[in-house]
Amino acid sequence: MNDAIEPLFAVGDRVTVLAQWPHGHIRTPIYCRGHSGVIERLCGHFPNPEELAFGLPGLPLRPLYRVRFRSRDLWPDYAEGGDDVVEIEIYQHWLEPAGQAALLRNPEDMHA
Amino acid sequence: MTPADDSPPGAGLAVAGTQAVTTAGADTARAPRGPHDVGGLPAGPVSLEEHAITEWETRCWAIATLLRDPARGARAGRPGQALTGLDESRRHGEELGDRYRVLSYGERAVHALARMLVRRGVLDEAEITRTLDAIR
Amino acid sequence: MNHPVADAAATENGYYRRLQAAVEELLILKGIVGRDEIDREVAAMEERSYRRGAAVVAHAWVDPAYRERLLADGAAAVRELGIEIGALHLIVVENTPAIHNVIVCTLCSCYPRALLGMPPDWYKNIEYRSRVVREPRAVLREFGLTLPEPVSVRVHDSTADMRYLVLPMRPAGTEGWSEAQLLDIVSRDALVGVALPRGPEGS
Repeated sequence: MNDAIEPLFAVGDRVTVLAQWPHGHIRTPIYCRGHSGVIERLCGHFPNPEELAFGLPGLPLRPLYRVRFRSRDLWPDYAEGGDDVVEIEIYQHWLEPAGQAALLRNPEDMHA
Repeated sequence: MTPADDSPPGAGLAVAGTQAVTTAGADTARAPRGPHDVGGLPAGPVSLEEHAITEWETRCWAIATLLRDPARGARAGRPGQALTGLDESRRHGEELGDRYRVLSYGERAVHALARMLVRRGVLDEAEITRTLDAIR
Repeated sequence: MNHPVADAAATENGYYRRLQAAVEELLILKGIVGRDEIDREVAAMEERSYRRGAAVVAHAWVDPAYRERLLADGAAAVRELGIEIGALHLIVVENTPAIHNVIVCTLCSCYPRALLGMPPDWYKNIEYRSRVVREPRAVLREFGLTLPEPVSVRVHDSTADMRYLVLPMRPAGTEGWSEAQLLDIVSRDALVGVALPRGPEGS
């Protein structure tokens, strides 16, 4: 594929969703931002919806993954089954390798 | 509507493909939350009552679907360009803010359809209003 | 658009119905879309119902090789049955004795319309979208579905370009049933994961 960004992650990789809060049309639900999960599959390459939303072409195509999160990781007080999971489609530019986040600042710095 | 209405907000595009500024375990309560981004929020019981989709809702969806085909853009002087888009339609719904919850799904969809066509100059607001006022 | 002050009142006065009619009239007048084209699209939409999804499931129940193809590449397997689904990207998720799958789109109402028709109101409403990721069992109980404790729940949030179909387990007591009989016990709600197909013992 010519106009497409190379996938950075493989099935089984542990990733963290960026803890960012931009305005605009964002398809990464707030409830998973800042949380870590595992790549379940690469779904393919798709235009960036954040740009499509404004009538732009959304190119280059972005790798889209399904990321599996343990429900109790998303919500520490999750009260149902301990093995329950939520799987979410997330574009590559919203993901980074898990573990990297821990090296960065404390939560107060994000608004600096 | 103003031209600025359709400029992508800087922050929204900045995140696309740029380096992360990330914080583990961030306080999600601080996120500016759109009216649509409701996963995990407390809410009441699920109503299982279903209404049959109305004719105008179906026709709205049909038109939006037909106009998503870039081949149709030529008929509006925009060869090769789609006149509607799924994410664009959703974005117009999200920008309704507090009105998002007041309007039904179908009402948000027709609002968005009109916005997309006005933005491209396919229709103008005055002619829409004039035509609408003549309909009972 | 400039809206009347109170949206509820606007709804009452048929504002949005009339807005749709105005947009349609103008688009036809300008030659951008034909009334016949809209009619044909509407007819095609009305033809798409969950029975298509049910047919896919029934076929997967009687043909193990098809079931494998369906789980490997949902869209290709659906097209194999001659079902027209356009550019749909489909992921089929299978219920097992250990895993129950349920579908939602927390951000809007993404739904495999080509395969299931238009989504029901509850799928589009805030309550289902808010709660099913956070307390799926509680929500499923409101649909009359109580899951046994050892089963883990897999919620699929359909946030982007893929669409989802649940492949339920074939109920006990349906051995020897024809594909047509099986098709009849697969409800729309079973294909979204908020219900289970009912076998002869109502199991």
